[in-house]
Amino acid sequence: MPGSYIEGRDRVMADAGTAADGLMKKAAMAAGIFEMLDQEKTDHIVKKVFEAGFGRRVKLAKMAHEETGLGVWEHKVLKNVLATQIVYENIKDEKTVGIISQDDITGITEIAQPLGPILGIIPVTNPTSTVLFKIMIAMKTRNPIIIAPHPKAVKCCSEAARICYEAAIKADAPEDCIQWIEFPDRELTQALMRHKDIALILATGGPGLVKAAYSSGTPALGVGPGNVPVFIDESADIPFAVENIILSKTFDNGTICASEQAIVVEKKIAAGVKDEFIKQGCYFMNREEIKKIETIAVDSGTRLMSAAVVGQPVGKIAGLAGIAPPAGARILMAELDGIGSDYPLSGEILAPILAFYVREDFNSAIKLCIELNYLGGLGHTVSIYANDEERIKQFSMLMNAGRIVVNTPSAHGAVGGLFNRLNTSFTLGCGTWGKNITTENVTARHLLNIKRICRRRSNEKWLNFPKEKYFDEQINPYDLMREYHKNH
Amino acid sequence: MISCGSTTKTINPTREEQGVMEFIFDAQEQTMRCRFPVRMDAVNSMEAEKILDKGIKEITAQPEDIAVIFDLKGVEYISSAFLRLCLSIAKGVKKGGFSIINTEPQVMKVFKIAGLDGILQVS
Repeated sequence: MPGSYIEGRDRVMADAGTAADGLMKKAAMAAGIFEMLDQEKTDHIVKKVFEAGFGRRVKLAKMAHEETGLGVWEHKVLKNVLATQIVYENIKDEKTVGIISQDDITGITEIAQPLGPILGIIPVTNPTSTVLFKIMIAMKTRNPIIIAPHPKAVKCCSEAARICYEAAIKADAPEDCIQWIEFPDRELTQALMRHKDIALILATGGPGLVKAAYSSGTPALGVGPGNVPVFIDESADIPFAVENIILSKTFDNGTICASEQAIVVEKKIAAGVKDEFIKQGCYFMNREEIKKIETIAVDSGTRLMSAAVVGQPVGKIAGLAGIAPPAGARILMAELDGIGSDYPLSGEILAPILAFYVREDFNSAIKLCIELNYLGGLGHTVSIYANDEERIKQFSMLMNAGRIVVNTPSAHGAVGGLFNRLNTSFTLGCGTWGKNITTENVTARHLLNIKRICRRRSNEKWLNFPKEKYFDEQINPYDLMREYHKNH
Repeated sequence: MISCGSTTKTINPTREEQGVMEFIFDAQEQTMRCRFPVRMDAVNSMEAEKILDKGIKEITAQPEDIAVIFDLKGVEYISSAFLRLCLSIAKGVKKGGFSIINTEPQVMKVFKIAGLDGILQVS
């Protein structure tokens, strides 16, 4: 497997620019060869990559869990399934090569062309699944990809990339179509981000990294942070809502950025909702316990979640904080009075810790959801449980989120393909609110340059209109419009 | 209506069908509490500005000594003119003495999008 990764730490450390050039030269050659592949060959490569990744879903999940110390390995298996099987089902029939649409009426023919080399930045929270996902959509669109893993997830990401690369090569993919960095280095990642030949950065990670991607001058699709509020309406099926929220918030110990962060309820149903959370195994902390959890869950300097609790089980978090919830408690619930810096648990925490708010009425509850939405989670995901269509509509109109999931576990709902028909994705666009260009779930079609052949289809109205009339401002505009739309 | 101490003065807005404007001054608290119609469009906002301007001058020669509360309960629409009015009042009264309360969700969102929730006290 010649040159599919950087072979020595010394070389990386010596000169990030040279190392980036080396990777990019190989990627450029792969991009050239990729252009020659037709849809059939491309789909064959994708199928083989899917089979290889899907076939090693357990091994990769266990490696990710062992190396990062985050989450639950069984849940990481399911994430790998999502990134391979469900993504494959989602994209396999899509046309991504050559002519992808032709409309004789409009005369427009669309031709898909690859973007060029992609830099895929991988987070520590969903490492192997994100590698598999990004490789799948890159292969489907004939784009070479360079995987830049989080420093704490290098081994598992390298292994995931290697498995995919071997399968791709066996399926006649271009050499070096998948590369990965075995010795992550900030300077190298930055050099790659800024490299003139990188076509796109697929950035998934912390706010600093995503900002660096956007600042590089290279087009980027980055995932902003989430801070998912969940409104449980009085019309909701409360036991169902609580069961789904717990399923989502405890999945992989809460590492998915679309997982629930705060429950908001009206006063009249608050006691019932609280009882249901307790009945289903969640623990409401008292004020002292909340203070202790705040100390370890949120970094006092950055005001962001602390790495010590990310993806950790309740027992470990409780131990770190010195509190003693009942054995087997599933989520640590914190009833809070407000949001912002005085309430550290009101921000995003990717762990089984959940804020709980009670508000007097619907309007106050919705206002709080807006505040939470603005507190670091703009554009990402919000959630509502309700059976009142009017309220679902009111809520949706006021939230700034790419995904408004209804009666659905938000972590599973936002990634698509399981509880709805959103595109299955590990890169969730957050719109301009999250400094993204799209609010969609990023998938293969976002990795294409679409060319349009525009055949002559004359606008008869324009041709028949006496253009000299445009030069006379004395003519009433509506008379001009009438003349323009006249049936000849 | 402007009620100043024991003296009550009524000022009716021109378009009562949309609800009335109400300005009540509490002399003891040195606070003017204002309520508005459903739509605070440009016409209503300019009218409110005139009333407030005149009313405050009648109450005190030193507006920087009083507080003003805009109670937006029931206000469903606000215009640019209303945002300008808020900023102008906030500037004129005592520091931190201007607050906007009981906003409807869609109105609160306007203040958020406009970036004024950090400058004004909005709840």
